[in-house]
Amino acid sequence: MIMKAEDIRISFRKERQLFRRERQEILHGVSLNLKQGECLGLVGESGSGKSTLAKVLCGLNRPDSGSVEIGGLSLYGGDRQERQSLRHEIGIVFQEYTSSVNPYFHIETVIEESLRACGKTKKRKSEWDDLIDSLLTRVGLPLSYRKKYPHELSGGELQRVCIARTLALEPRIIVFDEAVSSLDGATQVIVMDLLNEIQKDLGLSYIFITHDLTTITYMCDRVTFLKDGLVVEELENLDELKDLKNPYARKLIESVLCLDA
Amino acid sequence: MIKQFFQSRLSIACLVIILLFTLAGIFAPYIAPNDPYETDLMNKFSSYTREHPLGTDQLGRCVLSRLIHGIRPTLFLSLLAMAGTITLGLVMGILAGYFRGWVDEVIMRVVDVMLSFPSQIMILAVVALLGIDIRNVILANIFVKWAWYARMIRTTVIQYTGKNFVLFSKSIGSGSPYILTRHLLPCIASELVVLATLDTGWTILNISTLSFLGLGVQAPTPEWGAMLNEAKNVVTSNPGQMVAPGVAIVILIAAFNMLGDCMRDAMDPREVRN
Repeated sequence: MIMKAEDIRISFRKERQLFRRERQEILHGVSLNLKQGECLGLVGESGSGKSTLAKVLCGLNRPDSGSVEIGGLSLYGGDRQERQSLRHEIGIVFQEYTSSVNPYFHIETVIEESLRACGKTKKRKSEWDDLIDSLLTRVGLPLSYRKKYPHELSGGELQRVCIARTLALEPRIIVFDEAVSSLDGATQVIVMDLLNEIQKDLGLSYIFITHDLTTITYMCDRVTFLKDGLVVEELENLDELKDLKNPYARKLIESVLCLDA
Repeated sequence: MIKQFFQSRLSIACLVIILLFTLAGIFAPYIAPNDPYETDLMNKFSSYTREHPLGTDQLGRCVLSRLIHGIRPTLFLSLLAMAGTITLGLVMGILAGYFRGWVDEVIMRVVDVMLSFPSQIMILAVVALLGIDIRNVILANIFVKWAWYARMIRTTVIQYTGKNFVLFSKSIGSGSPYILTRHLLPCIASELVVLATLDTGWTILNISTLSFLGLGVQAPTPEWGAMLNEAKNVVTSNPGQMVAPGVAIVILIAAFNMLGDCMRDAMDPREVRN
């Protein structure tokens, strides 16, 4: 078990009213397990708390209660040193690739930031250059892109840059928050093939968040259904997709099958 | 960015104008044909001659020499005021926008208070309180203007801290100094530069206004606003006296305003160029 999230609850303050401060709970005790080298799908409609969960898992939102453990170390407990060391174990790729990259950075600076963050500062500049080159090659981008600005790249290319900078961390887990949803069909398949290949080569574990079930069948080994901040169904095997117990999960599947037919 | 900036003819023209003014100000004693303080009452209100290219004023002082010497207080004082305003506004705005919470509350309430005063009257009040002195005019300018910057910068910072690239930066553990200087500052800079260059014009005008009202630079120091003030007494008999300082103010302020626009265009990498 590489990652274990237990009973995560998180709430946000509602719009402030006079004399009252109400909080709205987004996640009501979500638990997840991620095994080494697998891809876990996280499905749910918008507003079900998928993205919030992703941020909790990456250490961006501290949960009100519950714990996230990566390789036995706690992401939110523990001392500063421990938390800092875990930050490179898990990377995130967002859906919105346009806002994922600083518009004022060259592509190489984008990747450099990850290298800098995970403590590769001591290496010489030439070693960094080699690393950036190899990462760009890894995600299938030409080296001439190093000096380009994000707005000069297409959506698919930019998402590859995001993948490259996440790989630069040398993480064990990558969270994809709707990472392919805003790409067009053909590009989706290309990016997903790339992700599958990287996963196989580097032995990474993925958490793949999506609302699109076709992506799930393409990528994932296991699926967890999320609704209104609760896990409503967990599938250990994709073959079980046909006999779901939870009515909400069944409805989701049926809507896709309906479209396929 | 710099290359794009220099591709525009307008921006080069503005830059050249400002640079010429600056150089003229720095080397004023070498360029000015006459001593700006030398009075010659027999020769007052003389028209444009070889000796006095822009004529002489009511005390017979060379207008051109006074104009050139007047660049120093006008331009340098306003740049000083701008630097102070930006520094204070930037620090306050970033603190409020990035750290939020009670820091934000405290700073923004102070800003609200500052913004609820009419700026000109506030400056007059500050100068009246601290005494008539050019240093107090600069302090008053900073005091009145920083709140505008703090509010603008705070909004931009909040807007950008929610962006995914800042979230990613936080998630991989880049520290606040890195995020503030590498991510947020360049994003703010383009808006800040535009506002700052536009406002330099405003500050020049403001210092000139105060000198015109007799609260800023004191006679006999040559300053454009003060020169206008002296000229207004003879506006019916010698209207030509107002032309030189008036035109100088217009040119310099227009140059700053247009430079601001050009800089914004150049600093935005997404700007579509034709």
